[in-house]
Amino acid sequence: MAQPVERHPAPAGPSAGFSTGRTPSLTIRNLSKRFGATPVVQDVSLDVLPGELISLLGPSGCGKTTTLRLVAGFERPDRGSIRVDGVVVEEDRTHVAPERRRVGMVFQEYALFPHLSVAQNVAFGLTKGRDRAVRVAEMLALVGLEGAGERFPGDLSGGQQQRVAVARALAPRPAIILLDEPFSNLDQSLRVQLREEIRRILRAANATAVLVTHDQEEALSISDRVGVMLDGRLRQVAVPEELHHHPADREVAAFVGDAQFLPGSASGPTVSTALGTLRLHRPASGPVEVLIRPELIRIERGEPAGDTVQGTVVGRQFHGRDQIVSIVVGDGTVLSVRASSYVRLTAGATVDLTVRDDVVAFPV
Amino acid sequence: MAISTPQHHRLTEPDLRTGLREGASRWSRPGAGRSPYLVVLWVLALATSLLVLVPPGYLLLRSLGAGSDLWPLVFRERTLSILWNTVRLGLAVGAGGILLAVPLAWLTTRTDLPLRRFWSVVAPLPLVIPSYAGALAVIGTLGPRGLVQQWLEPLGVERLPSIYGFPGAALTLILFTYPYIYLTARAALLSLDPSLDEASRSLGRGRGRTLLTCTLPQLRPAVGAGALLAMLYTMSDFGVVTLMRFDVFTRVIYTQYRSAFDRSLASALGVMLILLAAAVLYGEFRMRRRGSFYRLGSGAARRQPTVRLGRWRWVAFAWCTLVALVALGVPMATLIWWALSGSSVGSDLGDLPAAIGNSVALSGLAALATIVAALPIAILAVRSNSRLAGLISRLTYVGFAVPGIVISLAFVFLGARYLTPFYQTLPLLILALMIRHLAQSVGSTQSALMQVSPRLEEAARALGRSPFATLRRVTLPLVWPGIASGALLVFITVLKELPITLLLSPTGFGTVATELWTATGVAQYGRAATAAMVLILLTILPTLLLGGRLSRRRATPVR
Repeated sequence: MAQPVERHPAPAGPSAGFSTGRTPSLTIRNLSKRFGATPVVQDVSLDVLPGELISLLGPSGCGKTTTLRLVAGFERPDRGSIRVDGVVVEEDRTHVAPERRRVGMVFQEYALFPHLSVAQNVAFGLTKGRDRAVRVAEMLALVGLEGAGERFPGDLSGGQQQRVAVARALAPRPAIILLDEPFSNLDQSLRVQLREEIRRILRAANATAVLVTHDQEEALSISDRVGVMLDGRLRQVAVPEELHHHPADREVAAFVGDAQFLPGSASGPTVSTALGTLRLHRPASGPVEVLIRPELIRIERGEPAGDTVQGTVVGRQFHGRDQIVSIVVGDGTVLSVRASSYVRLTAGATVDLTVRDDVVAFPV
Repeated sequence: MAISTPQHHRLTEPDLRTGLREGASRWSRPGAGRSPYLVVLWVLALATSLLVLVPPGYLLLRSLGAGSDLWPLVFRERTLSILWNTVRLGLAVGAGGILLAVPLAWLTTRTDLPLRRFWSVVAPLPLVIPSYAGALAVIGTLGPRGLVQQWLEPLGVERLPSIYGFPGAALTLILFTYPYIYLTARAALLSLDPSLDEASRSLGRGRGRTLLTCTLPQLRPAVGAGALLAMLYTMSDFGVVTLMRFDVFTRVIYTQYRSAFDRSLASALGVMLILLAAAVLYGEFRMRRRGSFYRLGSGAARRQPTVRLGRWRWVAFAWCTLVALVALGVPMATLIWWALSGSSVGSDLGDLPAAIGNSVALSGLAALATIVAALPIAILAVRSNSRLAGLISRLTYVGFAVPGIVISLAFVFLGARYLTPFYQTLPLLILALMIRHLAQSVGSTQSALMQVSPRLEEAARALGRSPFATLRRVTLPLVWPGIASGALLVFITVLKELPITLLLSPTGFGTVATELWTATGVAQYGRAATAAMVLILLTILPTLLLGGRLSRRRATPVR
């Protein structure tokens, strides 16, 4: 299958640009912003390619929303530059006003104009003319709200409001569309459904998008690439699998997914741990901590196929769709292992374990 | 690896970005550069705040400039007695208002008082009677040859104790300013968390002790703020004290201005009054701030439990009836009786029709000028983090602390000396009225702006609208109800305003208020009462509108 972006074998620092020859829709270089004495965004660089959907993932207060607001032009950075479709909108002395940036924004609270109808909201960014109504109808059809044009935002459900907000931002054909925590105001059940819907809409409009979220499941499931922001720094930008399986540093590993770290001793391409000698994704040497996600370990049924380690079941947490089994291995290390909830395991049972893939290790 | 869909797969759906050309975006319009929006706002806000500082600043300079000759005149016993009169009138009005208002507020919110809703509508109504019209009614009732005296004459009562001076001034101002306290106390009672009372009851305190030790102390900030507002009104009142011939600052300043050739003394007294009023205003500000700490939760509280009054119900009912009769029934009856029995109603209307037109036009223009001047200040105070903006917004309260007579005095002096072409012209009159009422309008505009999420404005900007277009298309339509009710409030206050209109009106320009005043001056009480009734009717209409607006106000769905 063709891949939309290059895979970076080891993006150790903040991700730099791509060399694909296309002009990125958005180029951020060394962006920094302080509020008073507190640095909020620190030295962030990022390229977003045309048609790409990138998520900025991070805990609240990590600077991801501020980054978005800097791109939109609502805040001015202390340092750094921003280009939209190759045009400088932010640099030392340059600050292009938000209304001249060709950057669309979908706000967390949607910010629909309560005094305007749905159609008037969608038409807000369009100039007057006969074509305006055509575009509005087209956008409403795109988000599945045909016939809702005369209604008012107050009469719509949360999900409908969100789709209007997306239609409004897409209507003037922005170079890039920014979405700030677009699903956080929705019920859990609605969220999964709507994020698929929004992704479909963005794809259909061939829009380039940056989405900010604190929900990793959301980020991993709908993005082409995910950037992890911690303490104002963009720590890693990678496709979801890369980010989850091969995080760049220990903090990213701990933030994304469930992490447990095993002590180990690395020498070049391999590392020896309580789970035996494992292949390393990136060569290392000396004492390290090895990332072992609960889903990286397989509990073998029947005859083990390759290298296995024996362990004893000491406890389990049943979650319904899966279960986390606590297994103690050779030297007394207790490991959490994710298994199908239909696997029957009782405390005291002896099991064989294998590791599914190569591992990443971080120096201690 | 199962990586999400690549780009060439997306072309299965129509490429809306490039495939269709309908609907041009607003971004594509040419021209760069920054909008002068903020510059314009700052210039307007700074200019307005400087204007507000003109009257007190000028009077201060004037009294300082008079040199040491002035000091013996200022610091004499007479000044001390004026100060004492002003303070004791303020205290009496505050205390009397509390005694009248707090029981009313409690009865109409927490008890099974008969006709409770009716009383809650009637209790604030005395506000529609201009206090000087009220004073006229009080004199008509209790004064020499007044109604009460006429009734008592057959019983052999030749003379009532004189109503003039402190008793009349205090009584009148209590009767017509207690609604300020009633309204704040009522709002506080409605927002109190009933669980506090329940906690007190569960800790073993009876109903009465709970009321005294738990409920009422929580009302202190609100009641205090209301009382200070009534005191502020008292200190700046000019009509009542003049009719009641009671020597407080406002009356003495006016007399000084009319009689004395040297106006430095009037200026110095004006500065003293400003300081006094500023102290009261500061107290009110502190009280209100403290009041906000007393609330436990936010949002609509649970329904307040109703206290059963038992046989006290009818005592309470009698009390409400008495207050309504004294503050509303008797004054209205007196005014109506006078207006009707005034020798020849039809022919005695005089300039009233023209005065009505003048009143409405003047109040409308003043309200318009005030909201226009308030808008930049309110926007900057709410939307910018600048400290200067906050300072400017608070500066507008200076106008609120400077009594009308003092503002008009400053403009009379300034007008006669430096602004001769503007002296006694409509623009100068409107400017003075605007300064006096700016704080009201800034306050209501600010709270309306705070209801509008800045995200809405950012959304408009991101869709290609300039700051001015955003203001016109998004912000103003959303804050308009708040601004309009603020304007209506200014309209009502200016209708009833007396000293500024009296001193700064163009020659021959009479309003209903000045018409009333002139008629009183020449003892044509029928004419005065007719003017008073017209004024009350003019006030009631926008008040009803205001009430309707406030109850219909819809909340914006955006937080």
